[in-house]
Amino acid sequence: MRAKWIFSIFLFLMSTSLFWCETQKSPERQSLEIELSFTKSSHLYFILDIGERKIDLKAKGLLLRTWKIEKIRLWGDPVLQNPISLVKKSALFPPKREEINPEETEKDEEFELEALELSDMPSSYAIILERNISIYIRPKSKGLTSLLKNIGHTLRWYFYPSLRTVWSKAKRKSYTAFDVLMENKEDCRSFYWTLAENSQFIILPP
Amino acid sequence: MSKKKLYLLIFGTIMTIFLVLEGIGYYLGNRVHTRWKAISVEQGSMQAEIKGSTNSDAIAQRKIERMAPKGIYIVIDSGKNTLYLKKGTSIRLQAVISCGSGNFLQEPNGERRWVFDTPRGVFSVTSKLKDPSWIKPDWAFIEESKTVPVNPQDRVEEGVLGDYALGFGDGYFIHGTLYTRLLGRNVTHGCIRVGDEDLKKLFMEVSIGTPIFIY
Repeated sequence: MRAKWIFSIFLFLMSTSLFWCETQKSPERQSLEIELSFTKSSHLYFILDIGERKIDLKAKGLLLRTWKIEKIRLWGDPVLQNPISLVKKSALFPPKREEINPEETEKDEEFELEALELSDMPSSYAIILERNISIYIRPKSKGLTSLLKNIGHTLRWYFYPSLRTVWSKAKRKSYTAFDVLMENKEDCRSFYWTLAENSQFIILPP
Repeated sequence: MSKKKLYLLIFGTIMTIFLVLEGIGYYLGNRVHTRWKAISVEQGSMQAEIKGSTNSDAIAQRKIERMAPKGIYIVIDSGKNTLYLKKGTSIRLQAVISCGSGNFLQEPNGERRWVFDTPRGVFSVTSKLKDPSWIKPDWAFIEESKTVPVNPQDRVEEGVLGDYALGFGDGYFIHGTLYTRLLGRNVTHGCIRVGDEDLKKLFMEVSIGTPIFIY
């Protein structure tokens, strides 16, 4: 009788520990499962692969575009839960949509092109994701102006996130920041262009 | 205490507090790499104890790869205004196109607002038309300060969409254009304009249901 009780308790403990192990999925497994669920929808999604230093744009499991990352810096709390939605894009000079004025269209005899194009997109900006995750995107330095900008950004990187971390901890919230350096301005602009409202991200660990 | 000394004291106190907060924040924030790796290793090793866990990852990866299109599909890069007709990784056709301008039109004295973006996402060819006619929507009249017609026949305009059109839902088409000099620029009201020769090749190759990926 006693042996039966001990055996039952042992079986119970084994099954709960296996259940707990199964629920503690590795980030890789979790990401694959999330990606599998995305393939059933018609949405585009991004995979930020910190280890491989790249950002992939995919849809239905098909790789559409890859942006290579020259350098990436991490700050704050690890990202353990995916997927993460885009909340907003933040730039010093964000691109503005032009309003079509019907009266001007009527009067204009010559066609003037006023459109939002790739060249209008900013090359340095931040993307704010859910759960207090910020990704700062900027191009590699080329020329004196961009070198000075990058020096300024690096100084800011070492001052602002520290204070933000302390503030977030005081509010019992997580805070994560990524500083992503891309090869050139064109890559930064095309990435900004591709980001749409509610874009979904999967972040793979280093 | 003199004023100078007082200001120095206040400044020194603020700087000390600032540096202490910076130090704490730096310590807390800069360990992310090690913490991440530790969590990954811990969860990975727990999972490896469960039989067949690495097989599950490979199965999931294969399932993802199987979702990709098997036959031909269209990929549209709206930023670079380029269309690719692909099969697997090979490109069968690459065409310069025009996508949405990103401008917007507000209805005068009205509530309606149109934003002329090419939609992003996964679509499929829903219709194939030869010698298509353009059924002008309301915005096409409002944009030119014209009255929106009551009679549907007054909306029809011939010859502006080229020889072929491929519909992909919600009134969006891949069609031809009279303004070939503007190909490569973002000038449309959301539809995708293609040159005549490329459009003909595209029309011949695709069928209803061919996937279209737009980003």
